[in-house]
Amino acid sequence: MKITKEIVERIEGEAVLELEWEKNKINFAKIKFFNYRGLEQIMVSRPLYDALVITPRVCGICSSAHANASILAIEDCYTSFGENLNISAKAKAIREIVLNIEKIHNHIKWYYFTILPELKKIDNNGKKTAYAFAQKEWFEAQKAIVTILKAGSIFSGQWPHASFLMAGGVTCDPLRSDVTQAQNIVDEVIDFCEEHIFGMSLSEFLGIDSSIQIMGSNSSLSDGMDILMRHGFDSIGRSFDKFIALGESYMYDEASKAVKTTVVKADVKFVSESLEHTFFESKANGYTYSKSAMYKKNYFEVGPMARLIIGKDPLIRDFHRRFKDSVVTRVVSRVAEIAHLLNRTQYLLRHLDISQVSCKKPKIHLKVLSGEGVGAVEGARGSLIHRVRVKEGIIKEYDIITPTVWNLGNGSQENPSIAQEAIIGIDSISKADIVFKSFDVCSVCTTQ
Amino acid sequence: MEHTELYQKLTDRLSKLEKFPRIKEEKSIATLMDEHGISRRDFMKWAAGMTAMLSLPSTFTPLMAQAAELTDRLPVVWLHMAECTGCSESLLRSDAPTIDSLIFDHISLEYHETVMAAAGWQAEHNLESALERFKGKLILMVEGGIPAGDSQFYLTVGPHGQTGQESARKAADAAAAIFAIGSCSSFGGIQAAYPNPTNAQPLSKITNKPVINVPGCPPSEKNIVGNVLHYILFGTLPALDAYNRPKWAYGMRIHDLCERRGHFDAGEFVQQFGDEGAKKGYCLYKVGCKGPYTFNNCSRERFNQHTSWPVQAGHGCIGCSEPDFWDNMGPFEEPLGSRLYHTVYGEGADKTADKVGVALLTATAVGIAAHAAIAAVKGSPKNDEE
Repeated sequence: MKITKEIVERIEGEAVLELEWEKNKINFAKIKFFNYRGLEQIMVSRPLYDALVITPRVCGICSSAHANASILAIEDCYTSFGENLNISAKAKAIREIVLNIEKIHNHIKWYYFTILPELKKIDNNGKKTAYAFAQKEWFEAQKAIVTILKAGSIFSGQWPHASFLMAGGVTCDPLRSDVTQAQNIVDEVIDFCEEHIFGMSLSEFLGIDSSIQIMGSNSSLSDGMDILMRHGFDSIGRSFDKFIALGESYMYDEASKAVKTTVVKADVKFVSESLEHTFFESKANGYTYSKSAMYKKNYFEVGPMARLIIGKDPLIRDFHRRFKDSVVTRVVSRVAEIAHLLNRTQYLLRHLDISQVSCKKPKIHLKVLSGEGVGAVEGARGSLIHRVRVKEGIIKEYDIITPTVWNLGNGSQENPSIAQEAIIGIDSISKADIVFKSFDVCSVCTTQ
Repeated sequence: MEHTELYQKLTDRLSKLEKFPRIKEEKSIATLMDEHGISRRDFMKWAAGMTAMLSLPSTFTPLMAQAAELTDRLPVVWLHMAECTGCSESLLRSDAPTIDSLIFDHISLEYHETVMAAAGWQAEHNLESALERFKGKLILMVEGGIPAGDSQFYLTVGPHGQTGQESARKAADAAAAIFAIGSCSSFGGIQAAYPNPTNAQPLSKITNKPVINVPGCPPSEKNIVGNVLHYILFGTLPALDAYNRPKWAYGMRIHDLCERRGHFDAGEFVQQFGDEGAKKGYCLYKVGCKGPYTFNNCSRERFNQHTSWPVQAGHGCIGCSEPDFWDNMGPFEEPLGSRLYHTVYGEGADKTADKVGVALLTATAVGIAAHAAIAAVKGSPKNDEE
């Protein structure tokens, strides 16, 4: 048996894939993250609201998702202490707008700067391709990313690391002109997506329900799909076909899980974290700082594919019927979600009632607040969970379960994690690398 | 012209730099901009903005443009330590029509994990050869705190399992100028907050060479790019404050140029989030704004292409460009009140906002009265001309 070590770059942070080979096929993969910061530890004995400022710093890419999960956990503490905070529809909409925009930016960036260059390289027999920025298309993509984040920062003040959330609502009080400006910006990005990513109008794209229609379009999505299909990624990268989405979304009614396409209700209380194979469990035998998340001791995949399958999206269902949970379905799901998010964000902006109150201060004074709270949101990479235990306004315990620890945990040979299962059996490093990247790896939040 | 001597000095420096070979043989920045549809006019507008930000006279704008065009003569290396990539993200979200990002992309960034084209072993090799080839010439930018000493194993990078501390030290040894980008690299950051589980240290504790701190969580893209341009223009370190922050960016408080400053002076405060005062854009001091103790240019430069900044979105400044703000400035939604707090200019914040506000108001009133009196004696300038 041969063992190789691959450094995976051009993800957020750095990861090492250690691959065990047998008869030229990957027999097992260890996913290693070598970076630990101890943020959960640092939050202990600080005032509860400090979590709103500290948790975004877990990740510079998903800072709004962390802020959102944190505020939900804090508000849940109030609920458990007996006060039901009444968040205005306006505040809720603003929270979702900022979160959606973060996801849109992430997906565009991931497609153009993580996956497409790798695909082009594979298609080019492994030869180095031109630097991403050398082509006009990349430049346009970069511009779209910069532009969409402006729309978010109108409400959040800055991106990344915005602090605009407060127990009871949001701190900003946008004017009609702010909302109009945000709408114009989103329109601009819709134009980019229609021209470059989808090759058709947004409404047309949202109406299609067959994978063949995508392949027929003239767009970078169909370019990418074409390469994926030609290199067999329609059957590579399959995992357990088990999905979970615990955060709220307009796409489905409640937190759910799916085995294949059968959707049933799920509850965040069944989520546990395993320390197996980490340095926390054993300094000598551990090999990563990343924990693994499980639902009733089972691995589930999170992310756009999970959301769209649980939300019964016709297009992704069609992909799933043909290609199961392979790389192709995973990649297309992430890109297709851009369309849903843009559409939803435009809807929210159009219906934003700015006359409503932004923030209602809780009646219970923070200094007496004790209890426990859980917050779950759907971040770009999947379900993100924050749990907090507070005593008299001071954090006693804080636990963060990020999307990446769902997908990229480390199981055993008998019971591998989602990404391990997807990688086992592949015959080349470059293909394993694409499978790994198809999960949209982020090491910084994995290890905090 | 004013500042002729300085102008001449910078011109000489730039013409010397111009003789250096380009590091990348490909395209010049001018052609690159052309290809991406950025007109010369847009570029000059950008250069004028940069010139103003660095507090140089507007006549220096052509020099700034030239400096931007010469960025490909200097090798820049960017290293990630223990962090969240937020600083890189801030940089990548740079100005429209993405001139900063374009320059930074082209600036022969020999090593930047998130955006670089080479990956894995190849990238590691690139870094090593860059350190070798440009020894003593390169500009080093480091993002993230550095777990040090007995805890350095908390961060290892690359195929050889080198610790972050080793790799930062090696790169610093080869550098001509060193910038700590972001509060983590400047002051240790969030991972260095109490109890600092990984013994994270700022870059300045890792190397003996002078380190220029560009703190902020994240720092604005302007402050990052501005530092590179400043170095290209002057070839020396900028004027620094007591915490090694460039004065052109960190010379004034958030409070000094804050758009809500008028409300502070008038004693108009948001009492709690979501109240009438919040709707009217009153001062956020009483709900925890740390602007009066924080030195940075956010209130002028803002974020995301000048779109907004935290105070505009109704939340106070959290003081993210000050040393150890995680431990000193919290709780972030309460004023520091009567606690003593050290700023660059000594102890401050021992007065309540009301007192300061009223005192300032009085001073303004005295000022207005004095002005009126002088005007009455001298007569208005217009009258004099007649």
